[in-house]
Amino acid sequence: MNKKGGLAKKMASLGKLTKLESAINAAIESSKVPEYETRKLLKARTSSQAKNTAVFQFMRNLFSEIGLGVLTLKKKDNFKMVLVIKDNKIKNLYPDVKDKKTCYIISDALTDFFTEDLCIPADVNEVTCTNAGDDVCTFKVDLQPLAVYKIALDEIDNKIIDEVVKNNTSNEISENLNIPEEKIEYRLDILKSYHILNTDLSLTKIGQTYHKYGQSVVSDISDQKEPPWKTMSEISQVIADSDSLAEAISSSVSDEEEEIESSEVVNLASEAEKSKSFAQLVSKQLKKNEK
Amino acid sequence: MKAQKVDDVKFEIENHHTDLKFDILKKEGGLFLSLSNLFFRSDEKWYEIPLEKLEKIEIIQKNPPRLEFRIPSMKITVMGSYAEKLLALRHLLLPYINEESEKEEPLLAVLKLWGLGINDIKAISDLIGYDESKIEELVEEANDKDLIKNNVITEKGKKALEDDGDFLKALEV
Repeated sequence: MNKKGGLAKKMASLGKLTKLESAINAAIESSKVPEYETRKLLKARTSSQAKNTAVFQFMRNLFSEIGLGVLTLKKKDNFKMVLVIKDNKIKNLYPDVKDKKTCYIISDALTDFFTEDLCIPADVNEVTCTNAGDDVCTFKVDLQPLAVYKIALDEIDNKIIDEVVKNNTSNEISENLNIPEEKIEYRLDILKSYHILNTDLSLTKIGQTYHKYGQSVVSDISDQKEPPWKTMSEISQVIADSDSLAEAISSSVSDEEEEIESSEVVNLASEAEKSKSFAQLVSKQLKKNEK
Repeated sequence: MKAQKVDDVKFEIENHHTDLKFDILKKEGGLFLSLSNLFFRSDEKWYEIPLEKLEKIEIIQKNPPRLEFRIPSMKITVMGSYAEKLLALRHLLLPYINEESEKEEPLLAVLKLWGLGINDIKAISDLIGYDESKIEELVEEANDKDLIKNNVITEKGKKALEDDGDFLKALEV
């Protein structure tokens, strides 16, 4: 870490990260996705179907626009996604960090996008990183199952579940709901893949719980809004404007280096260690007195 | 030693021990970064945190921004003017520390499903994506921590789910 100009490089990295934070904040605030679009992503059965959804393409454009690299979808399960970032320049901000993962800012941006824009709380972790010697930076996204159910299943799915509870066949469900049987079959397959239905169309344990409680929390999509990609040019402008804000933030303090005299410094780690010993001493004394 | 200012901040230094808690120091001043240390300056005094001692850096509040630095037996809470700067500082420093903080999320996810009446190990495994042995471990941990008792989520368990309380309330669990 002790290279010539090391502090200047570190401060420059801090400045670039501040710009990225500003862009991420601006982008996330402007990118709320309506649930009917998120549902298409959640209901995609394969990675290639998911990649073709408008919401995933928007997400890829958004991350690229922010400057976080090019996002690709490697794997998609019901409650998990594996994303790869290509052309990731984040590691360049840590020239003195070797053999460790560095892309926490991308993990957090993905968490914010899933949690705030798609309304699915997510836990995102970088599992491989080019800075740690891996070929690519890979991020595992764990989606909160209850939130996924809340968005993935709609009113028609709930009606189908009600029909299943009455032991109706797919043909009967089709007639009762006035929906073509192949569409019913498709939805039944999705309900099976989400562990709501067994292969014999009976309700699983999860299905029973969902039927009992979950239907009451199905999202109300009556207040549908336009998807954010309809106004992508405005979002791009918001991201561009955030750059000026970040410049202003960065210049709010002097960039002059200060010389610190060691006699004026209190080392908090050493003080904590001392007071820990003191605390242990007091604790022992108290216990002794109790006896 | 050279350091450069990051931001004007308010900060609180607090000792923390399992059975004793004392010495809360509230100050106002500047946050500085050097190659291997963080410094807080207030009046003429400098408080130093060696980066190698950092155990955890967390955003504990977004608006207004509050960042918490943890070193052994001590935590320092920082309030700055710009959330972006504190977030950037956190992201800058995270790779320098070995932040392997134990994640509570899988335990809470198990707890939440338990609260909903799903206590079948395989079903939970399917939903959360951890293998069944891991789920069994988590259930055991929840029992050990008194979050579940006699197959029912306890008051302590409900408290642990405070953030998701609205969902549980909606279900009248």
